[in-house]
Amino acid sequence: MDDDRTSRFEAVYQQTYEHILGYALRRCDSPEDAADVVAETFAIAWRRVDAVPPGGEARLWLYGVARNVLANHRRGQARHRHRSVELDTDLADLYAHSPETSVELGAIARAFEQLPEDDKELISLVAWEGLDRAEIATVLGCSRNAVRIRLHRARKRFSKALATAGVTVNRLVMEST
Amino acid sequence: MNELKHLARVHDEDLAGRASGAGARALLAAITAEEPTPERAPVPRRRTRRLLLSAAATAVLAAAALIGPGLVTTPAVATSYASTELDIVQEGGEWVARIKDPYADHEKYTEGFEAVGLTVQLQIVPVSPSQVGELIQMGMGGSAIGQRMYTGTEPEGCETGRPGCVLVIKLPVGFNGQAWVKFGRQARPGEAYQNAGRANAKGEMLEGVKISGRTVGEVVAEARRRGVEAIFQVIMPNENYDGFSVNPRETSPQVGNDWFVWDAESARPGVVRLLVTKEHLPKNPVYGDGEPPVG
Repeated sequence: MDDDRTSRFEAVYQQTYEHILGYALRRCDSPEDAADVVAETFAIAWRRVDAVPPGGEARLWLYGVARNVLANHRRGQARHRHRSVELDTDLADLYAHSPETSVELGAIARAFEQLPEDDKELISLVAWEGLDRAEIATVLGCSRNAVRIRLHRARKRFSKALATAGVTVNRLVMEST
Repeated sequence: MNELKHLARVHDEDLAGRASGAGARALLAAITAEEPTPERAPVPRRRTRRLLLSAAATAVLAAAALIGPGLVTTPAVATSYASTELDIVQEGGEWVARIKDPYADHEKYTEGFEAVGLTVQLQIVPVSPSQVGELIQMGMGGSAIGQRMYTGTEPEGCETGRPGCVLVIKLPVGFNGQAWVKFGRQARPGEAYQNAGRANAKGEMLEGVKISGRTVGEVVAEARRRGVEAIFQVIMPNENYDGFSVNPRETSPQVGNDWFVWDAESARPGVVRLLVTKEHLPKNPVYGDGEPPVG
Protein backbone atom coordinates (compact mmCIF):
# COMPACT_ATOMS: atom_id res chain seq x y z
CA MET A 1 0.00 0.00 0.00
CA ASP A 2 2.72 2.45 1.06
CA ASP A 3 4.88 1.14 -1.76
CA ASP A 4 2.11 1.96 -4.19
CA ARG A 5 1.93 5.41 -2.84
CA THR A 6 5.68 5.88 -3.08
CA SER A 7 5.96 4.62 -6.63
CA ARG A 8 3.05 6.72 -7.75
CA PHE A 9 4.60 9.81 -6.18
CA GLU A 10 7.96 9.04 -7.72
CA ALA A 11 6.38 8.80 -11.16
CA VAL A 12 4.68 12.17 -10.72
CA TYR A 13 7.92 13.64 -9.39
CA GLN A 14 9.98 12.43 -12.36
CA GLN A 15 7.39 13.66 -14.80
CA THR A 16 6.93 17.13 -13.31
CA TYR A 17 10.10 18.05 -11.42
CA GLU A 18 11.68 20.05 -14.24
CA HIS A 19 8.45 21.94 -14.93
CA ILE A 20 7.92 22.88 -11.30
CA LEU A 21 11.59 23.76 -10.91
CA GLY A 22 11.28 26.00 -13.98
CA TYR A 23 8.12 27.60 -12.62
CA ALA A 24 9.84 28.42 -9.33
CA LEU A 25 13.10 29.61 -10.89
CA ARG A 26 11.31 32.03 -13.18
CA ARG A 27 9.44 33.61 -10.29
CA CYS A 28 11.94 33.64 -7.45
CA ASP A 29 14.77 36.12 -7.09
CA SER A 30 17.09 33.77 -5.24
CA PRO A 31 17.99 30.08 -5.44
CA GLU A 32 17.03 29.71 -1.76
CA ASP A 33 13.49 30.89 -2.43
CA ALA A 34 13.15 28.67 -5.49
CA ALA A 35 14.38 25.66 -3.49
CA ASP A 36 11.79 26.38 -0.79
CA VAL A 37 8.98 26.61 -3.33
CA VAL A 38 9.93 23.41 -5.14
CA ALA A 39 10.43 21.51 -1.89
CA GLU A 40 7.18 22.65 -0.32
CA THR A 41 5.18 22.04 -3.50
CA PHE A 42 6.30 18.44 -3.70
CA ALA A 43 5.94 17.95 0.05
CA ILE A 44 2.27 18.91 -0.35
CA ALA A 45 1.92 16.56 -3.31
CA TRP A 46 3.38 13.77 -1.17
CA ARG A 47 0.85 14.40 1.57
CA ARG A 48 -1.99 14.64 -0.93
CA VAL A 49 -0.82 12.12 -3.47
CA ASP A 50 -4.33 10.67 -3.77
CA ALA A 51 -5.57 14.06 -4.93
CA VAL A 52 -2.98 14.39 -7.70
CA PRO A 53 -4.75 13.83 -11.03
CA PRO A 54 -3.27 11.33 -13.49
CA GLY A 55 -1.33 12.09 -16.69
CA GLY A 56 -0.66 15.59 -17.92
CA GLU A 57 -3.13 17.06 -15.46
CA ALA A 58 -0.64 16.38 -12.66
CA ARG A 59 1.60 19.16 -13.92
CA LEU A 60 -1.32 21.63 -13.91
CA TRP A 61 -2.38 20.56 -10.42
CA LEU A 62 1.18 21.10 -9.20
CA TYR A 63 1.36 24.55 -10.82
CA GLY A 64 -1.75 25.43 -8.81
CA VAL A 65 -0.10 24.22 -5.60
CA ALA A 66 3.19 25.97 -6.47
CA ARG A 67 1.31 29.18 -7.06
CA ASN A 68 -0.20 29.06 -3.56
CA VAL A 69 3.14 28.11 -2.01
CA LEU A 70 4.77 31.05 -3.77
CA ALA A 71 2.04 33.42 -2.59
CA ASN A 72 2.53 32.26 1.00
CA HIS A 73 6.26 32.60 0.56
CA ARG A 74 5.85 36.20 -0.57
CA ARG A 75 3.70 36.87 2.46
CA GLY A 76 6.63 35.80 4.56
CA GLN A 77 5.25 32.41 5.48
CA ALA A 78 8.24 30.56 4.10
CA ARG A 79 8.97 27.00 5.11
CA HIS A 80 12.48 25.68 4.83
CA ARG A 81 11.98 21.97 5.14
CA HIS A 82 13.51 19.32 2.92
CA ARG A 83 16.29 21.58 1.75
CA SER A 84 19.67 20.01 1.15
CA VAL A 85 23.15 21.07 0.15
CA GLU A 86 22.69 19.14 -3.08
CA LEU A 87 19.49 20.96 -4.01
CA ASP A 88 20.92 24.36 -3.05
CA THR A 89 24.06 23.75 -5.13
CA ASP A 90 21.98 22.59 -8.06
CA LEU A 91 19.86 25.71 -8.03
CA ALA A 92 22.61 28.21 -7.24
CA ASP A 93 24.25 27.07 -10.44
CA LEU A 94 21.15 28.06 -12.38
CA TYR A 95 21.27 31.58 -10.99
CA ALA A 96 24.91 32.01 -11.95
CA HIS A 97 24.02 33.22 -15.44
CA SER A 98 21.75 36.22 -15.87
CA PRO A 99 19.15 36.01 -18.60
CA GLU A 100 19.88 37.77 -21.85
CA THR A 101 19.57 41.52 -21.44
CA SER A 102 19.23 44.45 -23.80
CA VAL A 103 17.90 47.96 -23.42
CA GLU A 104 14.60 46.97 -25.01
CA LEU A 105 14.23 43.86 -22.89
CA GLY A 106 15.01 45.91 -19.81
CA ALA A 107 12.18 48.29 -20.65
CA ILE A 108 9.81 45.40 -21.30
CA ALA A 109 10.84 43.79 -18.02
CA ARG A 110 10.15 47.01 -16.12
CA ALA A 111 6.74 47.44 -17.75
CA PHE A 112 5.96 43.81 -16.93
CA GLU A 113 7.09 44.22 -13.32
CA GLN A 114 4.67 47.10 -12.84
CA LEU A 115 1.65 45.01 -13.76
CA PRO A 116 -0.68 43.74 -11.04
CA GLU A 117 0.45 40.38 -9.67
CA ASP A 118 -2.53 38.53 -11.19
CA ASP A 119 -1.82 39.94 -14.66
CA LYS A 120 1.82 38.94 -14.45
CA GLU A 121 0.93 35.42 -13.44
CA LEU A 122 -1.59 34.99 -16.26
CA ILE A 123 0.78 36.30 -18.91
CA SER A 124 3.61 34.22 -17.48
CA LEU A 125 1.55 31.04 -17.60
CA VAL A 126 1.08 31.67 -21.33
CA ALA A 127 4.54 32.95 -22.23
CA TRP A 128 6.67 30.87 -19.89
CA GLU A 129 4.77 27.71 -19.10
CA GLY A 130 3.15 27.68 -22.56
CA LEU A 131 -0.29 26.89 -21.23
CA ASP A 132 -3.50 27.38 -23.19
CA ARG A 133 -6.69 28.82 -21.75
CA ALA A 134 -8.19 25.50 -20.70
CA GLU A 135 -4.97 24.57 -18.89
CA ILE A 136 -4.80 27.94 -17.16
CA ALA A 137 -8.41 27.52 -16.08
CA THR A 138 -7.40 24.22 -14.46
CA VAL A 139 -4.41 25.79 -12.72
CA LEU A 140 -6.38 28.75 -11.41
CA GLY A 141 -9.57 26.82 -10.69
CA CYS A 142 -11.81 29.10 -12.73
CA SER A 143 -13.76 28.92 -15.99
CA ARG A 144 -12.18 29.18 -19.43
CA ASN A 145 -14.31 32.20 -20.10
CA ALA A 146 -12.97 33.90 -17.00
CA VAL A 147 -9.43 33.15 -18.19
CA ARG A 148 -10.24 34.58 -21.61
CA ILE A 149 -11.58 37.78 -20.10
CA ARG A 150 -8.79 38.20 -17.57
CA LEU A 151 -6.14 37.47 -20.15
CA HIS A 152 -7.66 39.98 -22.52
CA ARG A 153 -7.54 42.61 -19.80
CA ALA A 154 -4.06 41.68 -18.68
CA ARG A 155 -2.79 42.01 -22.23
CA LYS A 156 -4.51 45.33 -22.63
CA ARG A 157 -2.89 46.65 -19.46
CA PHE A 158 0.47 45.30 -20.55
CA SER A 159 0.14 46.91 -23.99
CA LYS A 160 -0.69 50.16 -22.27
CA ALA A 161 2.25 49.87 -19.90
CA LEU A 162 4.53 49.15 -22.85
CA ALA A 163 3.17 52.07 -24.84
CA THR A 164 3.73 54.34 -21.84
CA ALA A 165 7.29 53.06 -21.64
CA GLY A 166 7.70 53.80 -25.34
CA VAL A 167 8.09 50.16 -26.27
CA THR A 168 6.34 48.47 -29.11
CA VAL A 169 6.08 44.75 -28.84
CA ASN A 170 4.38 41.96 -30.68
CA ARG A 171 1.23 41.46 -28.71
CA LEU A 172 0.79 38.03 -30.17
CA VAL A 173 3.62 36.65 -28.11
CA MET A 174 1.05 36.51 -25.36
CA GLU A 175 -1.63 34.80 -27.40
CA SER A 176 -3.06 31.51 -26.33
CA THR A 177 -5.68 29.32 -27.87
CA MET B 1 10.58 37.01 -31.60
CA ASN B 2 9.16 36.21 -28.27
CA GLU B 3 10.33 39.02 -26.03
CA LEU B 4 8.59 37.73 -22.95
CA LYS B 5 10.22 34.35 -23.26
CA HIS B 6 13.58 36.08 -23.11
CA LEU B 7 12.63 37.58 -19.79
CA ALA B 8 12.48 34.13 -18.27
CA ARG B 9 15.54 33.14 -16.24
CA VAL B 10 15.42 29.63 -17.63
CA HIS B 11 13.19 27.61 -19.91
CA ASP B 12 12.01 24.14 -19.02
CA GLU B 13 14.09 22.78 -21.90
CA ASP B 14 17.24 24.10 -20.20
CA LEU B 15 16.41 21.95 -17.21
CA ALA B 16 16.31 18.63 -19.04
CA GLY B 17 17.91 15.94 -16.93
CA ARG B 18 17.64 17.88 -13.67
CA ALA B 19 14.99 15.46 -12.40
CA SER B 20 17.66 12.79 -12.06
CA GLY B 21 20.32 15.16 -10.71
CA ALA B 22 21.72 15.16 -7.17
CA GLY B 23 19.45 17.99 -5.99
CA ALA B 24 16.28 16.34 -7.23
CA ARG B 25 17.26 12.97 -5.77
CA ALA B 26 18.07 14.49 -2.38
CA LEU B 27 14.72 16.28 -2.30
CA LEU B 28 12.79 13.17 -3.31
CA ALA B 29 14.50 11.17 -0.60
CA ALA B 30 13.82 13.83 2.04
CA ILE B 31 10.16 14.10 1.17
CA THR B 32 9.36 10.41 0.90
CA ALA B 33 11.23 9.72 4.15
CA GLU B 34 8.52 11.65 5.91
CA GLU B 35 5.51 9.78 7.21
CA PRO B 36 2.80 10.39 4.63
CA THR B 37 0.05 11.79 6.79
CA PRO B 38 -2.46 13.18 4.34
CA GLU B 39 -4.11 16.48 5.12
CA ARG B 40 -1.79 17.08 8.02
CA ALA B 41 -2.44 20.38 9.71
CA PRO B 42 -0.01 22.92 8.24
CA VAL B 43 -0.52 25.27 11.19
CA PRO B 44 -1.63 24.46 14.74
CA ARG B 45 -4.68 26.67 14.38
CA ARG B 46 -6.21 24.39 11.84
CA ARG B 47 -6.65 21.47 14.17
CA THR B 48 -8.44 23.71 16.60
CA ARG B 49 -10.71 25.12 13.96
CA ARG B 50 -11.58 21.65 12.78
CA LEU B 51 -12.51 20.63 16.28
CA LEU B 52 -14.71 23.67 16.61
CA LEU B 53 -16.53 23.00 13.39
CA SER B 54 -17.13 19.36 14.12
CA ALA B 55 -18.85 20.08 17.41
CA ALA B 56 -22.59 20.18 17.28
CA ALA B 57 -23.78 23.24 19.10
CA THR B 58 -22.57 26.77 19.49
CA ALA B 59 -22.53 26.45 23.26
CA VAL B 60 -20.14 23.53 23.04
CA LEU B 61 -18.01 25.47 20.60
CA ALA B 62 -17.76 28.42 22.90
CA ALA B 63 -16.63 26.13 25.72
CA ALA B 64 -14.06 24.48 23.49
CA ALA B 65 -12.73 27.85 22.55
CA LEU B 66 -12.26 28.70 26.20
CA ILE B 67 -10.37 25.53 27.06
CA GLY B 68 -8.12 25.55 24.01
CA PRO B 69 -4.71 27.14 24.55
CA GLY B 70 -4.18 30.50 22.94
CA LEU B 71 -7.71 30.69 21.72
CA VAL B 72 -8.93 33.63 23.69
CA THR B 73 -9.57 35.63 20.55
CA THR B 74 -11.28 32.84 18.61
CA PRO B 75 -14.93 33.78 18.30
CA ALA B 76 -17.66 31.25 18.87
CA VAL B 77 -18.46 29.58 15.58
CA ALA B 78 -21.87 28.49 14.41
CA THR B 79 -22.55 25.43 12.27
CA SER B 80 -25.17 27.14 10.18
CA TYR B 81 -26.24 30.62 9.22
CA ALA B 82 -29.41 32.08 7.79
CA SER B 83 -30.29 35.61 6.75
CA THR B 84 -32.39 37.22 4.06
CA GLU B 85 -29.28 37.39 1.87
CA LEU B 86 -27.80 33.92 2.26
CA ASP B 87 -28.03 30.57 4.04
CA ILE B 88 -25.04 28.45 4.98
CA VAL B 89 -25.38 24.83 6.11
CA GLN B 90 -23.27 21.69 6.25
CA GLU B 91 -24.21 18.98 3.78
CA GLY B 92 -22.21 15.78 3.32
CA GLY B 93 -18.93 17.10 4.65
CA GLU B 94 -19.19 20.41 2.85
CA TRP B 95 -20.18 23.92 3.69
CA VAL B 96 -22.92 24.90 1.28
CA ALA B 97 -23.74 28.59 0.95
CA ARG B 98 -26.84 29.56 -0.98
CA ILE B 99 -26.96 33.21 -2.00
CA LYS B 100 -30.59 34.24 -2.23
CA ASP B 101 -30.06 37.94 -2.83
CA PRO B 102 -27.32 38.63 -5.37
CA TYR B 103 -27.94 42.37 -5.10
CA ALA B 104 -27.10 42.58 -1.40
CA ASP B 105 -24.23 44.60 0.05
CA HIS B 106 -21.09 42.46 -0.20
CA GLU B 107 -20.50 42.93 3.53
CA LYS B 108 -23.61 40.87 4.25
CA TYR B 109 -22.05 37.85 2.58
CA THR B 110 -18.78 38.31 4.45
CA GLU B 111 -20.68 38.47 7.74
CA GLY B 112 -22.53 35.26 6.95
CA PHE B 113 -19.36 33.36 6.10
CA GLU B 114 -17.64 34.77 9.17
CA ALA B 115 -20.44 33.52 11.39
CA VAL B 116 -19.58 29.94 10.48
CA GLY B 117 -15.83 30.56 10.67
CA LEU B 118 -15.11 30.92 6.96
CA THR B 119 -13.11 33.72 5.38
CA VAL B 120 -14.79 34.19 2.05
CA GLN B 121 -15.08 37.43 0.15
CA LEU B 122 -17.90 37.23 -2.32
CA GLN B 123 -18.64 39.93 -4.83
CA ILE B 124 -21.53 39.68 -7.23
CA VAL B 125 -20.97 42.29 -9.91
CA PRO B 126 -23.01 43.53 -12.87
CA VAL B 127 -21.78 42.03 -16.14
CA SER B 128 -22.91 42.03 -19.74
CA PRO B 129 -25.48 39.37 -20.70
CA SER B 130 -23.08 36.73 -22.07
CA GLN B 131 -21.29 36.63 -18.71
CA VAL B 132 -24.30 36.50 -16.40
CA GLY B 133 -23.98 33.53 -14.07
CA GLU B 134 -20.32 33.12 -15.01
CA LEU B 135 -17.56 32.94 -12.48
CA ILE B 136 -15.46 36.02 -13.23
CA GLN B 137 -12.69 35.55 -10.74
CA MET B 138 -11.83 33.17 -7.97
CA GLY B 139 -8.83 32.76 -5.77
CA MET B 140 -7.63 31.25 -2.54
CA GLY B 141 -4.96 32.17 -0.08
CA GLY B 142 -3.60 31.28 3.33
CA SER B 143 -3.72 27.59 4.10
CA ALA B 144 -6.28 26.93 1.35
CA ILE B 145 -3.55 25.21 -0.65
CA GLY B 146 -4.88 22.32 -2.65
CA GLN B 147 -8.44 22.72 -1.37
CA ARG B 148 -11.30 22.92 -3.79
CA MET B 149 -14.15 25.36 -4.03
CA TYR B 150 -17.27 24.72 -6.06
CA THR B 151 -19.51 27.40 -7.51
CA GLY B 152 -22.73 26.91 -9.41
CA THR B 153 -26.40 27.76 -9.41
CA GLU B 154 -29.69 26.17 -8.37
CA PRO B 155 -31.44 25.38 -10.63
CA GLU B 156 -28.34 24.59 -12.63
CA GLY B 157 -27.50 27.04 -15.41
CA CYS B 158 -29.95 29.74 -14.33
CA GLU B 159 -29.10 33.43 -14.64
CA THR B 160 -27.87 34.97 -11.43
CA GLY B 161 -29.96 38.02 -10.72
CA ARG B 162 -33.22 36.53 -11.93
CA PRO B 163 -35.78 35.70 -9.22
CA GLY B 164 -35.50 32.10 -8.03
CA CYS B 165 -31.93 31.64 -9.24
CA VAL B 166 -29.72 30.83 -6.27
CA LEU B 167 -25.95 31.05 -6.40
CA VAL B 168 -24.27 28.12 -4.61
CA ILE B 169 -20.75 28.01 -3.18
CA LYS B 170 -19.36 24.85 -1.61
CA LEU B 171 -16.21 24.51 0.47
CA PRO B 172 -14.89 21.51 2.38
CA VAL B 173 -15.69 21.48 6.09
CA GLY B 174 -12.43 22.37 7.79
CA PHE B 175 -11.55 24.96 5.18
CA ASN B 176 -9.54 27.58 7.00
CA GLY B 177 -7.85 29.56 4.29
CA GLN B 178 -9.18 32.60 2.52
CA ALA B 179 -11.20 32.52 -0.65
CA TRP B 180 -12.54 35.23 -2.89
CA VAL B 181 -15.12 34.85 -5.58
CA LYS B 182 -16.38 37.31 -8.14
CA PHE B 183 -19.55 36.30 -9.88
CA GLY B 184 -21.48 37.97 -12.69
CA ARG B 185 -25.10 38.96 -12.35
CA GLN B 186 -27.56 40.85 -14.50
CA ALA B 187 -27.02 44.60 -14.48
CA ARG B 188 -29.73 46.97 -13.44
CA PRO B 189 -30.76 49.60 -15.99
CA GLY B 190 -27.96 52.17 -16.33
CA GLU B 191 -25.53 50.19 -14.18
CA ALA B 192 -22.07 49.99 -15.80
CA TYR B 193 -20.76 46.49 -16.46
CA GLN B 194 -17.79 45.61 -14.30
CA ASN B 195 -16.60 43.14 -16.83
CA ALA B 196 -17.15 44.10 -20.43
CA GLY B 197 -17.98 41.31 -22.83
CA ARG B 198 -17.64 41.32 -26.60
CA ALA B 199 -20.70 43.21 -27.80
CA ASN B 200 -21.35 40.93 -30.79
CA ALA B 201 -21.20 37.71 -28.76
CA LYS B 202 -24.29 35.55 -28.35
CA GLY B 203 -26.77 37.22 -26.04
CA GLU B 204 -25.08 40.63 -26.26
CA MET B 205 -26.51 43.84 -27.72
CA LEU B 206 -24.93 43.47 -31.15
CA GLU B 207 -25.23 39.69 -31.34
CA GLY B 208 -24.06 38.36 -34.69
CA VAL B 209 -23.05 41.75 -36.12
CA LYS B 210 -19.78 41.83 -38.04
CA ILE B 211 -17.71 44.61 -36.49
CA SER B 212 -14.10 44.30 -37.54
CA GLY B 213 -12.96 46.73 -40.24
CA ARG B 214 -16.36 48.32 -40.85
CA THR B 215 -16.89 52.05 -40.72
CA VAL B 216 -18.17 53.87 -37.67
CA GLY B 217 -21.18 55.02 -39.74
CA GLU B 218 -22.16 51.43 -40.58
CA VAL B 219 -21.75 50.05 -37.08
CA VAL B 220 -23.49 53.00 -35.40
CA ALA B 221 -26.42 52.63 -37.82
CA GLU B 222 -26.63 48.91 -37.04
CA ALA B 223 -26.54 49.70 -33.31
CA ARG B 224 -29.21 52.35 -33.66
CA ARG B 225 -31.51 49.89 -35.46
CA ARG B 226 -31.25 47.75 -32.33
CA GLY B 227 -31.86 50.69 -30.03
CA VAL B 228 -28.28 50.68 -28.81
CA GLU B 229 -26.14 53.76 -28.24
CA ALA B 230 -22.47 53.77 -29.25
CA ILE B 231 -19.59 55.44 -27.43
CA PHE B 232 -16.01 55.46 -28.66
CA GLN B 233 -12.52 54.60 -27.60
CA VAL B 234 -9.74 55.59 -29.98
CA ILE B 235 -7.01 52.99 -30.08
CA MET B 236 -3.39 53.39 -31.14
CA PRO B 237 -2.14 50.28 -32.90
CA ASN B 238 1.32 48.99 -32.12
CA GLU B 239 3.90 48.42 -34.80
CA ASN B 240 2.79 45.77 -37.28
CA TYR B 241 -0.74 46.17 -35.88
CA ASP B 242 -0.02 43.56 -33.23
CA GLY B 243 -1.78 44.94 -30.22
CA PHE B 244 -2.75 48.47 -29.39
CA SER B 245 -2.76 51.03 -26.63
CA VAL B 246 -5.40 53.48 -25.48
CA ASN B 247 -5.46 56.79 -23.75
CA PRO B 248 -8.24 56.37 -21.20
CA ARG B 249 -8.36 60.13 -20.59
CA GLU B 250 -9.60 60.58 -24.13
CA THR B 251 -13.20 59.74 -23.41
CA SER B 252 -15.14 61.88 -25.87
CA PRO B 253 -13.09 61.94 -29.05
CA GLN B 254 -14.34 63.52 -32.25
CA VAL B 255 -14.95 60.43 -34.27
CA GLY B 256 -16.08 60.67 -37.88
CA ASN B 257 -18.49 58.31 -39.61
CA ASP B 258 -15.67 57.38 -41.98
CA TRP B 259 -13.45 56.07 -39.16
CA PHE B 260 -12.98 52.32 -38.66
CA VAL B 261 -14.17 49.97 -35.94
CA TRP B 262 -12.05 47.01 -34.73
CA ASP B 263 -13.96 45.71 -31.76
CA ALA B 264 -17.04 46.49 -29.69
CA GLU B 265 -17.46 45.99 -25.93
CA SER B 266 -20.65 46.08 -23.92
CA ALA B 267 -20.32 49.10 -21.63
CA ARG B 268 -23.66 49.15 -19.81
CA PRO B 269 -27.21 48.15 -20.73
CA GLY B 270 -28.06 49.87 -24.01
CA VAL B 271 -24.53 51.18 -24.60
CA VAL B 272 -21.62 49.68 -26.52
CA ARG B 273 -18.07 50.98 -26.69
CA LEU B 274 -16.50 50.88 -30.15
CA LEU B 275 -12.71 50.61 -30.47
CA VAL B 276 -11.87 52.83 -33.43
CA THR B 277 -9.04 54.30 -35.52
CA LYS B 278 -9.12 57.13 -38.03
CA GLU B 279 -7.16 55.21 -40.66
CA HIS B 280 -8.04 51.87 -42.14
CA LEU B 281 -5.58 49.22 -40.98
CA PRO B 282 -4.36 46.20 -42.94
CA LYS B 283 -4.89 43.98 -39.91
CA ASN B 284 -7.14 44.06 -36.83
CA PRO B 285 -4.87 45.15 -33.94
CA VAL B 286 -7.20 43.60 -31.35
CA TYR B 287 -7.21 40.12 -32.81
CA GLY B 288 -3.99 40.15 -34.85
CA ASP B 289 -3.85 37.32 -37.34
CA GLY B 290 -6.79 35.58 -35.67
CA GLU B 291 -10.23 35.83 -37.21
CA PRO B 292 -12.28 38.42 -35.27
CA PRO B 293 -15.13 36.43 -33.71
CA VAL B 294 -18.78 37.09 -34.49
CA GLY B 295 -21.66 35.67 -32.45
